[in-house]
Parts: sequence; C-alpha cells; structure tokens
Amino acid sequence: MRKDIVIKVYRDRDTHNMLMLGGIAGLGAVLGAVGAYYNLDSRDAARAVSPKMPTSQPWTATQQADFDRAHSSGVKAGIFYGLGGAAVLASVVLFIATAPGEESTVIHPHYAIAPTPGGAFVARAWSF
Amino acid sequence: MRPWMLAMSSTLATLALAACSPDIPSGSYECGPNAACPDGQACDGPTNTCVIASTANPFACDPGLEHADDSPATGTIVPQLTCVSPVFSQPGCLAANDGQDWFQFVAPTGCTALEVKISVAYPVAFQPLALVLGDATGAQLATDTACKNLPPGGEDLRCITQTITPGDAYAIAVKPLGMGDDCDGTCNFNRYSLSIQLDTP
Repeated sequence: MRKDIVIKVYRDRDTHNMLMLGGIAGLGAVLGAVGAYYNLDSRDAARAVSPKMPTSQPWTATQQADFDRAHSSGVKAGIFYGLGGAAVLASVVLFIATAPGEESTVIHPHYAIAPTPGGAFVARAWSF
Repeated sequence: MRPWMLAMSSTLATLALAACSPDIPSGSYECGPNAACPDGQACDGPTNTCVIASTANPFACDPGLEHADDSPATGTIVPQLTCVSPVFSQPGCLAANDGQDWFQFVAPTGCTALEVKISVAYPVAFQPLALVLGDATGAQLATDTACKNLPPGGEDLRCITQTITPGDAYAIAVKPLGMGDDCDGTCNFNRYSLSIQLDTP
C-alpha cells in the first residue's frame, strides 16, 4: 500500500499586512471610542432636560441648549459608531481576504523488496 | 462566558448607551421667555406651562379682570390702607394691545412718615411688565427696579419702594415693558398680580 505524504507550510503574514490590519482595526476602535464619547455626552444632556416630575421652572435658553446638544451629539455618536463599525468590519474582511496561502509538498514513497539468502531486503525511498 | 451571552450583554450595553433622547413629559416645564417650550410642545395660555402642542390653548384674560382702567382717573380703586398695612393683592391682566392698567389709592393721614412698597409678579412666558408710581394725574414719581427677593420659577417680579406723603392721592400703572420678549408681537399680553403695602420707612 502506498500513501503519499503531504507537508503543508502556512506562511506568516508579513509586517505590512499586520500593520495595515492593525491600523484599520485601531482606527475603528478610536472612532468607536469617539462615538461613545458623543453618546455619553448626548445622554448627559438628555438627562439634564428630562425631568421625572414637573419642575416649576421655565424652559430657558440653557435647557434649549442642552436639548440641542443631546440631539447633535446623538447624531455624531451614530456617525462615529457607523464609521468605527465599518472600519472594524473592513479589518475582519481584509484579515480573511489577505490570509497568506499555504505551500503543500507531496512526497511519493517508493518501496523495493529484494530476496536475500535467508530473508529479504526492504527499502523505501521518497521523491518530491 | 458563552458567545450568545457575550452578544446579548453587548447588545444591552449598546442599547443603554443609545438611550439618549430627551424625554420631556407634557407639563414638566413652565413656558420660558417668548413662550419658549421644548420641540413638539407649545405654551398653554391658561397655565403658562409647556404641553403637547395639540393640547395647548390660547391665552385669554379672565373677563373678570378686564376693566375700563386705562387712565389714572378711571383706575381700579384700592381699598383704604392703614399707615402700616397688610399686603393688598390684586390680580390683573393686560390683553393684547392693552397699553396699561391703572390703580388709584389715597395715602392715609395721621402717619408720621409713609413708604409704599409695590410689586408686580407676572409669568416670564409673555410680554414683560413694568410698574410706574404717579400722582393723582399720573405724572411719574417712580419706576420699578428688580426686587430684592427672587420670584418663583417661571415668574418675574418688579418692585417700587417710594416715600409718599400722607393724605395724598396716587396712581399706579402696570404697563408693558416694551423691550421685546413678546414673541415678536404674538404674545403681547400677560396676567399679573399687583401687591401694595404701606409701611413706615
């Protein structure tokens, strides 16, 4: 019975590829962090003008500014979350797409059997 | 931690962060200057509070508060006050384009010295008001200043403190301040509460 021996060699990612993927993922993380900042700012502003009960206070320019800030920061948060998510997704896609290939080497074994006085000689050789 | 638990906690965290829109129930705020209210709400005329726009009612003076009091001679007569009097309070209302409400009073005699303390409180939502103290003919003797005590939220308060002569007749005018903040003319009205007290200076 002859069975080929297959040797697979997985190549390492090169430094350029690693830096590119890390950079895109890092950019995504930074954009996500900026989105979180605006998200929290928006939440704080929204809480400042969202009473649990009647305030007996007038609606002034200060409240209107908080109201506007809650809206604008919420929009910014959405934009930065979107950009950050897109960057992280892109890094995942590129990680898969730029995965280095593998090298396969097939070794074909050869057998030789020769009778000898009182026995036999068995030899095995490989070619690749 | 299992992957589905991680995904669920991440989703919940995201939703917690995303909950950042103002939630302002109807009636939470008094109307601000120029009848200002949050988006989607409007100033309710009878209560000066911000309510859902579709439920807001227009401003209207109580018919019982409108008098023919547009001159010193026809002003509402204040009951006779004593040298050191309790606070006399009188609600009033300036309808749109009503230029002034007058009140008249006579200082009591027999006082060694006399000081009148007049204040007018009104919602900040509509046009700001001013006070004038005049003699019986309406000739100006004093005008209002900011009061020492702070008004309650949603209101403004203007005051006059003036030494007066016992036995003389005086007139008080409540009139629009005329310095804007009347919604560009669409809220040129207001209700008020006038207070008068006599004291020894």
